[in-house]
Amino acid sequence: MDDHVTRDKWDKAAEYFDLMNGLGPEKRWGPHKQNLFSKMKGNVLFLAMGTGLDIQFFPPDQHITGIDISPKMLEQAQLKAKAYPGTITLREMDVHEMDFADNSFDQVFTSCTFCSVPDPVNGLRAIHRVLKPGGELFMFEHTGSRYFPFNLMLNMMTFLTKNFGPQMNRNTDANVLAAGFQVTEIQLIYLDVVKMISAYKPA
Amino acid sequence: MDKRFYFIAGDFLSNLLIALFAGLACSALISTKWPMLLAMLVSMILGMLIAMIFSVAVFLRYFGAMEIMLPGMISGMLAAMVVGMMASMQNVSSITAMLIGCLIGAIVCVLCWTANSIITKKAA
Repeated sequence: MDDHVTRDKWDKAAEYFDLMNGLGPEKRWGPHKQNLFSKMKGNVLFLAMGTGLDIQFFPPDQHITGIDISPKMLEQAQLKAKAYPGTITLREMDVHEMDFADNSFDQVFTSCTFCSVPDPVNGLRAIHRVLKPGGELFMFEHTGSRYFPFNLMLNMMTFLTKNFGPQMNRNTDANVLAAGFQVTEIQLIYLDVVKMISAYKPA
Repeated sequence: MDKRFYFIAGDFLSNLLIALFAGLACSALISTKWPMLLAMLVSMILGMLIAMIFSVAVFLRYFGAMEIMLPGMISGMLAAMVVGMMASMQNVSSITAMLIGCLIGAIVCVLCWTANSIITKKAA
C-alpha cells in the first residue's frame, strides 16, 4: 500500500471520528442513508467503511465486503460489524489498488467517500472494474456546489480541511461520468451539496 | 429542509450564536483608528474562522455537518463584516454587536433554508 499520507490522515482521525460524527450528522442523514442502503442485494462492496457508523443503516441478512484504507478505522468497525445480523467482511485496502477480480460485485455503495479519495476518477474507474456489467453504484456524498456563495465557502473550507480531512469542493457527479458510469438519478438532500447518486456500469 | 424540530432549532441556534460571537469579536478588535476597508477584510476573515471553529468544535457533533458549516460560515462572515465596518466608523457597544450578529444570523439561516428548498425542488 503506497498511499501513506491518506492512511495516516484517517488513522489519526479514527480516535475522534465517532465522537464528531456519530450523533448529529448520522441522525440527520440516517433516514436518507437507510433509504439508499435498502437497495442492497447480491454481492455488495461497501467502500470506505470507516469506523462502521453506517452499519446501523444496513438492511439485515446481506453479505457485504467492506474496505477501508485505515487499519485504525477498521479496528473500530470490528465490533459494529460483528453485531450486524448478516455477514460483513472487513478488509484493509486502498480503492485505487483493490485486489478483487474484475466483474466481482453486483453493487458498490459509498458513503462520504469520494471527498477523501486522492484520485477520485481513478478510484471510480477501479470500482467500474470490480463491478459486474450492469452492476450498480450507489453513492451518498457531499460535493462542491455550483451556486454562489456556497461554492465560495466550500472552496475556502477545502483550503483548511484538505490536510486533515475531506475536500469539500469535489465535482463527484462529473467524476462518475468520467469513470464510465451511466448516471440514473441524482437526488439532492441539502442544496446541491449533499446528494445521493445512482449509476450503473453499462453491460 | 429538514422538518424535524431538533434540526430546525439546531440550525437557528448555531447561526445565531456563530454570528453573535463573530460580531462581538469584531466589536472588541476593531476601533475607529482602523481604515474601513482593512476593518472589513480582517473582520470577514475573523468571522469565517470563528464560524469554522464553532461549527466543527461545537455544533457539528449535535446538528449535522454541511447543514451547519455552510450557513454558519456565511453568518459569521457577514455579521463580522457589518460590525467590523461599523466599528471602524463609530464605537459599537457589545450589546449592539451581539444584536446585529443575531439579526444577521437569523436572516442568513432563513435565506439558506429558502435556497435549499428552491434548489432541491428544482432538481426533483
